[in-house]
Amino acid sequence: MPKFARVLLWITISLLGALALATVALHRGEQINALWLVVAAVATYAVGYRFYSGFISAKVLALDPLRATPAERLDNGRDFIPTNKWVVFGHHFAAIAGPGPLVGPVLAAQFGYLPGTLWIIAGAALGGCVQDFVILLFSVRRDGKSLTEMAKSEIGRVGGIVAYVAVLSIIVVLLGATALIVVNALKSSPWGTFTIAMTMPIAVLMGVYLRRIRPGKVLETSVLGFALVVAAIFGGQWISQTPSWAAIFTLTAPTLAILIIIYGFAASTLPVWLLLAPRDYLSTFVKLGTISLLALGIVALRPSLHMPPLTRFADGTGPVFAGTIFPFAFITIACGAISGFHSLISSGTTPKLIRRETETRFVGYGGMLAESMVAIMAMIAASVLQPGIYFAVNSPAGIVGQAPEAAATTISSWGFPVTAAQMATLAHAVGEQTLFNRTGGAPAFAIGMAQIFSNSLGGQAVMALWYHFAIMFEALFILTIIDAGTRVGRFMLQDALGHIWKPLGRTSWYPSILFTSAVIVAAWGNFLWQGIKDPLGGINSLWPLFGICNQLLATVALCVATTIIVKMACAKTERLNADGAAIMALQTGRLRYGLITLIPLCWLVAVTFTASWHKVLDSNPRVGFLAHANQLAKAGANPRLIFNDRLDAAVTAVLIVMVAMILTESALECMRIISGRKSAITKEAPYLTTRLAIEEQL
Amino acid sequence: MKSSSSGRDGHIRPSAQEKRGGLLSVLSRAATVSQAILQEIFDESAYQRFLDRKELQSSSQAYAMFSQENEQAKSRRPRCC
Repeated sequence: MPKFARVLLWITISLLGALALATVALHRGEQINALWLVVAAVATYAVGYRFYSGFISAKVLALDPLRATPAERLDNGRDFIPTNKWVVFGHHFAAIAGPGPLVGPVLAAQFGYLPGTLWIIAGAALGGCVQDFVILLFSVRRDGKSLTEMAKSEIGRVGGIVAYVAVLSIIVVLLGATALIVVNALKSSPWGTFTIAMTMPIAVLMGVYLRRIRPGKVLETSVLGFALVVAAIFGGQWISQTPSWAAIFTLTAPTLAILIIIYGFAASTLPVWLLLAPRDYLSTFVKLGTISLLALGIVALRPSLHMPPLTRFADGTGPVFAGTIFPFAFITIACGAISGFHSLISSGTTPKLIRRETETRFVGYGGMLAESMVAIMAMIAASVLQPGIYFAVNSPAGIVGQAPEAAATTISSWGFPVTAAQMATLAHAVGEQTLFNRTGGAPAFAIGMAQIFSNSLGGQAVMALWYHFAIMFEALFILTIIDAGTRVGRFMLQDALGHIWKPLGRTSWYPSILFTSAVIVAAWGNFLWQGIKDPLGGINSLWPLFGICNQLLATVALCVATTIIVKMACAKTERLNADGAAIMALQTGRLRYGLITLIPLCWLVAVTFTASWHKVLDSNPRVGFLAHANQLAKAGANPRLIFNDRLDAAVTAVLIVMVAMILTESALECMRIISGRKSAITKEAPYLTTRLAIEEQL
Repeated sequence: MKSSSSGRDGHIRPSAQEKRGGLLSVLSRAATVSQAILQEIFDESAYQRFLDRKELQSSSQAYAMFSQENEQAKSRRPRCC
């Protein structure tokens, strides 16, 4: 394409993005079309990818197409394999996309669609994508080292320990919070419970089929499994309409919580091939299909957003979770904007597959942009609902009352009209007994998705099937995270305990497997149990806690990245040691590049430290853990509930202190290097020239 | 190795149909890439590489060996939120 045409094209894309962002931000008093959000996001992402990631690639990281990657140098056909960039992109996206970008935006929609949308777009382009990209590249240049290993080698021992504790904490809180979402979605829902219960024998059947009948035919087996799950959705409808069966599958929240805890323990101790692997395949299959379907549905139907851009709950009195836009919108939406968990993927399997250094831009930056689009779609799914319905579904009974009429009156008094009859009709349409107090985000997302789908495929008659398809999709997603997460946590614990007593570190020794699985399951099970007993609905305390953990991990990742960029900048100047004046000029210039990770790092520090301060010390009992504990103590509540609040406060405080330690250590390391008191030595693998580039030219 | 999967050198091998050019070629290439992505995500390529490396034919024993070899790596692979 001629240069003039290229310039014109990018000017057009930029103007279109600016127009869409202005429309999203400035429109008041009437509904806007969901496509404005899509256009704003796509145009911003295109400009961000073309120019910002291009700048980072060329100037900051100096990606070198001739430098051999570990996939080439250590190629063993197993972990290290040079792989096509599109294949790595798909693999990476499948690993980073989870329920987070779906649930977070739905919860944050209580502020209106505007704060969440702007944070998703700006956070991804300037923060999340940058984090994923630089961590991936730095891992590639260090033979695929993990974030924990890089923190230890580039910052120091404290960095390694903090990264380890942050990872374990995030896994435990994540599993507790996401398990609560499943419980809230399935309680008193025989249809949903039956469908999800069926996914377990289906997974075992898939495992046996894959092992005994069609070895290695995973795609074929996944299609078969998907067909069986769809049959289970239809079966669930029959179950819910047959009183004797419906009674069996109508379960309370505590019963569901116990069943999920037992499931987590069993999945962690059973052979991988029997349950975990086939469930993972099935979940991935459904995930990729459903996300594609939702994208097509939104583009084809172009629904209008009923949620206002800003609601009255910007003041922090929201029923879904308490707290003001800053900092709580920014920890509620993590995975769609910036997620510390991604740095584990970017320094896990993905760097071992990268064929050329230059492809880290496409996989790391581009993969996160795709994830961010999923979050935009979730925001749209929540915002197409009438606000009254959204708040009726997402508000806990402790805030709006247990009785439908009382809840409807309270929500209507906020300026979001809804009636008990309207909610009963909707519940009937989606095959549920009630939709009041279904906190957690999953049911609201499922209703929004069912509304979008049923308008194009099948009409209102099949809305119940779409709703239960969406619930199945989310629950399947989450249960896969629970079984995989419990196992990852178990291995991490075994690795650590192995230093104390060797047999505990043996991952195949059954007493160790049982003990460490029990510890991990008890840890997240405790958070789950706390969530279902919480009078404020559980999500109010658990999701912010999870968001804080996740963003703290991102803080650790950005600390590592900033330290490495500073070392890279100063290492360059040391090579030009002959001319003092030239050294300073070059150093100042290159050090500026550290801002690409330092600015998101400062933002995250402000967000997480403020959020943690509020969650621990705020005097409002709906926000502060300790204030809530004191309120419960004065009311003579169950000591267990009081303990839970104090535990949450302690976990938050310990994490924040540890992250403050890594921040201090990282800052000191940078200052030592900049001042020349320490040599800027990065722990990169030796430079070798790739032979792939030469082979490609032949 | 199947023609449509990603090879050990990381290239996606074009089929004869892809070489004809035009829209058909683009669509064919897109389908090939999509298939290769799915095969990688669903470990079919990994299994194929295992069979190549060990010089085995696909069978339930070979798949059991592959599952065993991959168990540690798969179990330790985090799934994001």
